[in-house]
Amino acid sequence: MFLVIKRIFRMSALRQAVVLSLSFLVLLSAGGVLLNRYLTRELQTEIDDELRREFATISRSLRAQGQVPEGFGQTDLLSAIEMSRAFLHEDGTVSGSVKADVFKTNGLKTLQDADLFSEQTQREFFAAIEAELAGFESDDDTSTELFVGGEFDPVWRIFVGPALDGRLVVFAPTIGGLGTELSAVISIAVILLSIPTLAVGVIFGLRAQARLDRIGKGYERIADGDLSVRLAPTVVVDDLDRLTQRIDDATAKLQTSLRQMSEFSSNIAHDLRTPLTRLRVHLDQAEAEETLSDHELSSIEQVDSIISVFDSIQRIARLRTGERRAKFQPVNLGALVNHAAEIYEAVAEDEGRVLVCRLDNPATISGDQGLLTQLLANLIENAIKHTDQGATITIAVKDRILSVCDNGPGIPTKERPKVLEPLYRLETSRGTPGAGIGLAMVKAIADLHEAEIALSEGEHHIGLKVALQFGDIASEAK
Amino acid sequence: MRILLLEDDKDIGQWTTQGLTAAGHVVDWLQSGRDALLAATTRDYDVLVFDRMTPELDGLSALKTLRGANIKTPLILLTALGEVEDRVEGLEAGADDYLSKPFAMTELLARVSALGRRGHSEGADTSTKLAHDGLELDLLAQKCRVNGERVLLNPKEFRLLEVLMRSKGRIQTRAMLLDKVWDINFEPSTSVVETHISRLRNKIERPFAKEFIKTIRGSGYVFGD
Repeated sequence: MFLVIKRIFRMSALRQAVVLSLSFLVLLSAGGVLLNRYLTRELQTEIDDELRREFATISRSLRAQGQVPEGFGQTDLLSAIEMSRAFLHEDGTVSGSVKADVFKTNGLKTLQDADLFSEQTQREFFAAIEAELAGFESDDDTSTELFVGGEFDPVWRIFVGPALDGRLVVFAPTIGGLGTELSAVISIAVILLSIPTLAVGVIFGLRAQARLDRIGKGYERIADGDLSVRLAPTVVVDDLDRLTQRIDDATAKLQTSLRQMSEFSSNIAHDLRTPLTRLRVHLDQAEAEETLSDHELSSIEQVDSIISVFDSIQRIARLRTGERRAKFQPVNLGALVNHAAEIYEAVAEDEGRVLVCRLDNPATISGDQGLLTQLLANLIENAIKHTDQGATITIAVKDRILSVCDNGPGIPTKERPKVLEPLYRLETSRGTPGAGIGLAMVKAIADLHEAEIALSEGEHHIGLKVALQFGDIASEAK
Repeated sequence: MRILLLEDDKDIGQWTTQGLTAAGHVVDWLQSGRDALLAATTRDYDVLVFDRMTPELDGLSALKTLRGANIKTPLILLTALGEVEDRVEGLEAGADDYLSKPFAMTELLARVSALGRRGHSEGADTSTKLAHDGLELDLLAQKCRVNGERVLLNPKEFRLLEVLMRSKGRIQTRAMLLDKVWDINFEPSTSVVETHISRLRNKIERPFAKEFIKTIRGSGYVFGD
């Protein structure tokens, strides 16, 4: 659970949606609290005004009568829920159901039940309420609960002042109850709103996240060299779409300049090859016309090897554009190894090496049969060239991993990444014939197939092992 | 054979013409793709040799136009781009063979003679039994006999012998053999062809004191003759 939350918070769009939803809910609650306070105060003011008016009215009527009438303040207690009154005579007796202490104040005051009424009155008061409620068929559940559960705990607002020859109090219950009720309503509203708000927030967040993920994946492919990827949707709606458009523009420009560069180098190659071809032709003619000296024959060989290096450089450059992926076909690694073994078993034997094949559940990958054959051929020829007589060369396939391993001198760990660069050669192999381009070609072909290439020691820590891990055919097909 | 050569480079054009003429062919050498297209549609040639990149109309487009007009004269495409991809593109456009520059004259001659022959005897080479001087090859049964004695060949050796016998008397270059027998379109840096030829000789020649396969130094092999 914690991990899920952690993961969600790493997705910016989803995080924003959640944070936005939560802030909305917090604001809503705060608004509710403020509203509650405002309404309470409004009601309070209204009650206070009414108390003042009632006081004035009663005061006037007392003055007109000249005395406090019999039974003043002895009204039905239940009606006190609305508004009630009491009078304190000069002699300290009280007409009404309130405590004498109440009259000590002057003006408005808020009092609890216990401060306003004597214990006797309180008991009578609640008994009256319960008697009243017993009469109902309790179809109004909330009010029943409010009263019976004791949650209706009214707070009293009083107004005290001099009247006639004593003091008059007018009092009314104020809205302690309404306050809690309103909070309850608001809390329920917040909870009810929070579910759809969060849900909608998460849905929008997930959608935005999906778009971001798509852009991220596309960009990964661009980084891997596939410059034909375009990210923008056909209909541009928002700033994210415009951002993807800009990425597309940049990619397109990159693709153009890469193509131009590749065309440029291809043109250079063409321009350089023509004089080379002429040179080769002249030497060929000379060979046809007369018997050449060893020097002259060796210069033909040199020209041929220059041309062959040139070929490879050009081919590697073309491979890097990834154009050939369009012509990929299913290739079984086992069949590939058998084919290579057919070609090289006899060659290896004549050179005094042993070629061994080990196939373990060979996978079928998506690739270019011709190029993969060349890749394997380069690895085998490398192994033949860089090992001594009697060496064993093992070609193995296990699932999607193709490897060629020998028990020759190997390559020092530090040098391993460098041998995959074009024209790099180990100091120790400077004298060996062949252009230092075989492994660079292997790397270019492996890259084209999105295969991971790893160089390591062979078995028993001797020799060299070149392993290629091919991707899933399904993931390559898309 | 009558050959139409399209090549814009003077040195290479001259050398190619000389080489083909010296081998007994009649060569018309043109330097513009448009001229070559016109010539190919109006005159009868045995083999066309087109450079891929030429002024006015490039060789590949000229080839496509020709094939579009249903002119099926065998054609070899020459190119400075040695990429296999171009080879595939060329073959798909209707080229019969593909040679990347620089090439040895023997390579071109071998390919021209192979194509010219194919052009005139199309469909004739479907025989299932090949024989020459005591050597018999039964393609259906995959059996090889020398002087009536059974010789065991592995599938690639069998295929190698078949290719050589079918082109009896004509040079098969290393590149041609690599392509036809092993489906390889790159140049291996080890002696793949030599090794297999030598194995084959050890099986069909040495025990019987015969010589079927001749080595042509620096170019390839020829069967019989």
